[in-house]
Amino acid sequence: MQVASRVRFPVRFVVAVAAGLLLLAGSPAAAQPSNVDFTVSGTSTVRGWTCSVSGTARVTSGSSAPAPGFAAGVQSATLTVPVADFECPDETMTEHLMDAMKPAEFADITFRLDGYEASGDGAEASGALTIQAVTQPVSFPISLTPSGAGVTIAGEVGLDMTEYGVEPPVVLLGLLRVGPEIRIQFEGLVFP
Amino acid sequence: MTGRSSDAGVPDRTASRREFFKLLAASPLLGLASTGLPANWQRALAHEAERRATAGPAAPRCAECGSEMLQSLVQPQFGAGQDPVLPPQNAIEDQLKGQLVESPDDAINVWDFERAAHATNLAQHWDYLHMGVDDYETRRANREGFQRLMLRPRRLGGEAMTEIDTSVELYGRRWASPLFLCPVASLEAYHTEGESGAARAARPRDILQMQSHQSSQSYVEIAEARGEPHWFQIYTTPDWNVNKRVIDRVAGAGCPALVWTIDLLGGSNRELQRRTLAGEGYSSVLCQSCHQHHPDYLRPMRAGLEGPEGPRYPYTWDYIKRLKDASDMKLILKGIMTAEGAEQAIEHGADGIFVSNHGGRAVNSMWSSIDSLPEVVNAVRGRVPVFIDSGVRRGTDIFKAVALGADAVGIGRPYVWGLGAFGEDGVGKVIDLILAELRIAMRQTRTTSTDQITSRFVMEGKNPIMMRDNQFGFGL
Repeated sequence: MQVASRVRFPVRFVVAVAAGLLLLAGSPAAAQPSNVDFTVSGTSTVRGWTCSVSGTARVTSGSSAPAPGFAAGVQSATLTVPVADFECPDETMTEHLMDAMKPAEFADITFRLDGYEASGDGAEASGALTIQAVTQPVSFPISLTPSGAGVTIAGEVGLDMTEYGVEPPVVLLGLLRVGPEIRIQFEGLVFP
Repeated sequence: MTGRSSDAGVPDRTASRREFFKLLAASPLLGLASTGLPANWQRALAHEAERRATAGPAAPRCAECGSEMLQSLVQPQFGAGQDPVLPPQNAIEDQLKGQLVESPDDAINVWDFERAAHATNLAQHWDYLHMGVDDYETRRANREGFQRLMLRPRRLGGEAMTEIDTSVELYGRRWASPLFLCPVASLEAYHTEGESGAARAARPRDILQMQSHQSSQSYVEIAEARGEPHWFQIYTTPDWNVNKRVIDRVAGAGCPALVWTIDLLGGSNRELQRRTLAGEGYSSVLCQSCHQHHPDYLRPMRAGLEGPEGPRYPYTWDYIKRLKDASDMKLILKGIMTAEGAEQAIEHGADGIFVSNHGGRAVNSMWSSIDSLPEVVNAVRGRVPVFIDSGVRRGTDIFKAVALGADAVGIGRPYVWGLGAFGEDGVGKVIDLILAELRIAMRQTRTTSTDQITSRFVMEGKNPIMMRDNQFGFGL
């Protein structure tokens, strides 16, 4: 009996673990952070400019609406951009950007996916973009390309900095003014 | 000149006559009286009656002048629940003057980028790019030269059109098209992405790129962005050792071809540049801050060339051999505009001839590069590739240049407009637009490869047809 009980216990344990794994398999996959490259472009009274930063994406699969590369759909997705990591073509520009973006107070720019409509090779994503604690709804097309075990996501969204309370840099006694309209482009490999 | 406002009081006799016939055609007395009318009146009445019978709802009228509006100008009718996305009201003006586009996707042709770059760049930067010498005559001649050439189409063929192949071969390397990016100075002046942004746009499209000696970024930086070596354009200095150090630097980085600009050796009269830098000029706070034009500042390809002075050889045809002997790079002479120049250059060892008047920035009263191309091609006799730039704005311009014997055709200002407006994406769209136009020209002439494009497909018109608004040099 003792032997039998010794045997039964591991069996129960294995069954329990297997059941747990099955449940896990049936539930949404845990979100893994993936690197996504962002470039932000805009204008000024002097020339066009582009700054770049590497951020992260967390995508949790599992939803009723499939999308390219996400057979089970996407339950949630969040893009996070660490403001302090922005790099501009020269230090002076980076300083001006930091002055405007205040990374000590507002560490991240985030986008939270609220919904999407799959179409063709991508989807129309809609969600909430938060910059300097101001959240605005945005929607933009996103391309989704299956690539190995992951999915390459790419897209761009245009916005007006002033709608988020960001004052476009004005330097050199007003000789150089940055335009309020910017374009954010992103691309990265995420793993559903 | 008669403005629109002064036209308002002038009666339009044609319109009045037509109104009269419309009134008669609608009259119930027409059937009784028409047989007694003059023949031309009867024809006009019959025509008007036919129009009334076949016409749909009455044509809308202009609210201001009362005239019937062309259907193309009438706003579309929208169904219930449909968003009334109205077409732009100033499309004609935008077409002839350029449109201030907000995204590269909105651009219809390269001049839309001209407007956008002008709006978002510092006036002094813009002036530097925009300027011609003296009175812009050479700049204008460059456009007129292309506009004087007409295409001779082929409508049908003996067999179905195959896929169009725009590729060309230069020194054993095949490129996707004859189009290449010319060397243009200081691209960071227009966008922080600078030459690297242009490189990232050109490389995936397999477009040849030539870096200016006056570039904002170094050869290595640009090659890294491009992912392969590109060509380098050199302005030689009197001190030979300095030139040799530049050549060693780019050759050591893998540069396959050196483009020697010889059209500025005699100087140029750049009046707009002098006007725009009047006052403090480069000493102004803005220039000092952005350009870092501090006393020891040198552009990347002019920095780090210190060393013992060398001999100062005269700029004679023998200089070609000196440059060729300095490296294994191909040597192309940029600025040749005559048969005599081409003949001498090849005799002295040039590997390529670049027909150029520097985009109208070197000498005024110059004939256009496209006008000089045929005699240069005749002199070259296929011994070396022939390149051309200056005034190229359209795919049809590329077609015309290839038809007259050019192996490759360069754009300068257009891609810088794209860069200045939208960085890399703007350059990419400029390239895409021009190549799309080239493919249309090839389909309309039923030429399916560049070697089929010959002089049989172009002819010279009497006068250039200039439709664009060229006020202040825009649209050239």
